[in-house]
Amino acid sequence: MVIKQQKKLKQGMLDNVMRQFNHSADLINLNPNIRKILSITNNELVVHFPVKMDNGNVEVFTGYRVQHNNALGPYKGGLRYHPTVDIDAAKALAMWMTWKTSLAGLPYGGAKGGIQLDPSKYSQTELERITRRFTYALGDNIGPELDIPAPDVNTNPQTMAWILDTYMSTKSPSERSKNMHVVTGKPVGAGGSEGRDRATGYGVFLSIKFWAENKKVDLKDKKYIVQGFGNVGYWTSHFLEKEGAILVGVQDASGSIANTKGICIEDLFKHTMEHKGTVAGFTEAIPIDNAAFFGLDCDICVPAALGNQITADNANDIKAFLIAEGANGPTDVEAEKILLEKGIEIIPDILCNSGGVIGSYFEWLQNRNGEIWQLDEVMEKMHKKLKESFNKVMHTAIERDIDMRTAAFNIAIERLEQAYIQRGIFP
Amino acid sequence: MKHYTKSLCATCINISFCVLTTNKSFIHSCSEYYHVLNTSSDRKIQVENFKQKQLVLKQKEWL
Repeated sequence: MVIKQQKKLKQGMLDNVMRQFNHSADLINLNPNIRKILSITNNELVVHFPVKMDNGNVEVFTGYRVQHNNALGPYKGGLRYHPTVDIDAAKALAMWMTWKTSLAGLPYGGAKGGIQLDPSKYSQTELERITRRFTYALGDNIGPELDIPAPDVNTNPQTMAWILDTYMSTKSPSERSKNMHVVTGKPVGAGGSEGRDRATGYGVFLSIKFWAENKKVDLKDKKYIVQGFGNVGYWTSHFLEKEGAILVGVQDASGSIANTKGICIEDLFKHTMEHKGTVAGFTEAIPIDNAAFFGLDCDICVPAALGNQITADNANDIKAFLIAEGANGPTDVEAEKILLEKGIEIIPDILCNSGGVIGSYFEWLQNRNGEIWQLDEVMEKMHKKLKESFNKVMHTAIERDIDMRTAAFNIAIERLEQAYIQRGIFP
Repeated sequence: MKHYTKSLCATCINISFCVLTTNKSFIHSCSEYYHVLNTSSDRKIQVENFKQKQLVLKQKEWL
């Protein structure tokens, strides 16, 4: 019974991704042969590798890399270090990456992977050896033109630098420098790109800005609330504030705060730095009931923390006219119906938080072409790239009389369909 | 950990007080998740670097 339950839970994420895919595939009447191909992953790699610990003992770790689809280009996706990493989670997240890169118009496919471990139990030197040994075990299953990992949960620029160094070390000296783009999310000094840190938040902000321009809404003095004041929440707020919008409510793990007159982003940021990253206790706002957060009086709502936050229970309380999904899956299916019926528009996660992977693409391009772009260049190119995706989604939504999420999925899957139709299936 | 074998919450330092969700059993993505490898000053450094660059850009404009 317990095993069955666990299996059901494991499948949950994959089921959700498949449901979204099937819904769009039905709507666009996807070629049945291409549906078959996109329904399963191309490759699933499981590696077991030994690593010597600081105390001299040897531990054997399990690592995964799932490569879902590469019809549009090399596989692309993060590597996470967490006890929950397994093949089903990696499959679902890899598939999700395929849709995201396709919608963003990038020459990438989708992948995901990681190591099943709790990094807090290992020293920095052990984590370095684990990462290097994992890279060695992956061997030529990753590569700058084959599969390009990036940071994810519990992996960071340092982890990417270790992967890069290990991967390059396995190549002959004359080929080493050709492999800088085997990973993205590297430290700026080791081939990383300027602007990568704020790319997702900037993308969320741009999505809101493009939507406002399209609807002829001036962002100045518009009130907004943000759930999550991590990297995405902070940078989104930072750019919205520069546009004249007013932050009136924030919720994070520690609680919810509000101020109808506005919250200064930098003051709040300073507070979080001094209080273990939490917003609770910020004196320039009042604490509010957590359940009342999404019902705060505002124009724009930015859920930028985690999934399933806007549900049938709170969807009717929402006063915003726009929801910009900075997090993955913050609005559930029932809530979305309620919101759309109320005329509230949703910029879907697959579009709204795609700034991160676009930033990764820019890093990859710079490494590949031997270029180093300045921050303003990166921001400018991000603006251009995201505007293309946004306009396509908006245009498709209007033309087909569908919501933006459905439009985004349709575009992503149709792009893949077109690639298969034009290329054909070997042999 | 034993309660959330399929959730990031399993290893998050915020779990004891997190108000974001009551259903912590299946979270696979969360911006509030505490990344073990990151120090709390990571974002501060990023922001300070960014501000420094903005200042340089502004100075260039003035020149």
